[in-house]
Amino acid sequence: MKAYFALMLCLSGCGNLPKDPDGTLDRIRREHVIRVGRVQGGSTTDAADWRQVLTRLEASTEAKPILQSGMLEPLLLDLEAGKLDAVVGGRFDEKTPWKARVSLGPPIRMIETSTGKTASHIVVRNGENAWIMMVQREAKAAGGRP
Amino acid sequence: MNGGIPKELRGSLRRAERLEWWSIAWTISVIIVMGSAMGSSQTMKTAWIEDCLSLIPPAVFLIARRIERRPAGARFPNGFARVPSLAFAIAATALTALGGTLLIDSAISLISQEHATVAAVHIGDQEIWLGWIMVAAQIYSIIVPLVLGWLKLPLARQLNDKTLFTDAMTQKANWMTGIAGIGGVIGIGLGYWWADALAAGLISLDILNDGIRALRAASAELIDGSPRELDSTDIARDASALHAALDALFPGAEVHLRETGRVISAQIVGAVPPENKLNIRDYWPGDPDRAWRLGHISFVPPPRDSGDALERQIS
Repeated sequence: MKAYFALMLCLSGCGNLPKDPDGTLDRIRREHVIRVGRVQGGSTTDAADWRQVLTRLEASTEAKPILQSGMLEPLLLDLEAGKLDAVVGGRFDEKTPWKARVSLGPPIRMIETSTGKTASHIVVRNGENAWIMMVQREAKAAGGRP
Repeated sequence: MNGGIPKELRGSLRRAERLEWWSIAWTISVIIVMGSAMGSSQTMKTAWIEDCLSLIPPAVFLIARRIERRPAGARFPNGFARVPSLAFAIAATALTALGGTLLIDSAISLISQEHATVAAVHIGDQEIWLGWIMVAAQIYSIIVPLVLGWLKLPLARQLNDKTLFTDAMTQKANWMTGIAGIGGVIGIGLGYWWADALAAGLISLDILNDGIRALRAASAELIDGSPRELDSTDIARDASALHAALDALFPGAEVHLRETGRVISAQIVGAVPPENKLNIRDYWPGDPDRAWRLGHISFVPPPRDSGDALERQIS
């Protein structure tokens, strides 16, 4: 068990992994642009939440978010195809089937109604692990707790 | 004979049983460690399933030991020595089918270009890439079977036990799974999305290979083939020596050898038992310590007239 922890500590020191298969984070840093899809019709409290995360991402990547409005599923399809880097303002059920196709960030502001629970998530493309880790980190730091 | 188990093997058998119980406990610990580090990686899923499957041989061994001990009765006059072979054939079929399914699964992941998400986990305040934890879990899942396999192999040879041997070989081969798994996870980390599905494919090939190996070993015995070597499909060396010795003792007779569990049965067609040789162990040509290998010998006397011997046997 001691060796296990020693190994983990040693390995966590090697901070260069993971890398993105499609180089999302590298491209954002190089081109100073984050392509963000924004779901139309969201609440203003949700908007305040994701704006906070975007501000933090802007600071840590030195890239400007360029917002593009649309409806949730078309935006997610664009995200899946690599035309967007993130989708903000979407609310998802805990068991959304999109979970398998895209990567949902930590839940922000859980709302429970008589029909079920939803939370706002910042959504990123599957497998872009370095970028996913950065978005998760900033969403958590911005207070992304239910 | 106490349910067909030679006396000199009882101590080793008890040791093997204890080892198999330990094996189950350790394997469960591997399953828990791997399961908690699994994430959404195809490699980890496949490796985890392989770890679960490695519970089958010890379980088969222990269950078979219980049944094997039962005395022969009116309904089963030949005892239960073949129970492990039957159990193993069933388990091997399942193993083969699952290996095939997992192979197709990873091929589909590869073709549909699924990108595995392996993000971060938090341990206290520390943010760690889940991939590193997967690698640590994989290392643990290499060490445990490696040690167990190394302990089981000499026992399996001594007991001439196919279940135990296949179990030991499967566990020894697990390090390859571990290396492939670590390669897959590091591959994801380096940004090669296909590394995950590729490693999973390699691991499922290994499961398929285990299944086919076990299936061949079990079916050769179930269809009364000649006794086989533990580690290959060749005829066992001690069986060949026995065959030659019996040929020399009974010229002109036909010698049929088959294997029932760990012991060999010999049938001499066309000869009568000699008056002076009454102990079965006198027929064993090699090392007297291994004389227990010859469990039964039976004779089919030659026909008294020149009639058709084959017809007489059948009737």
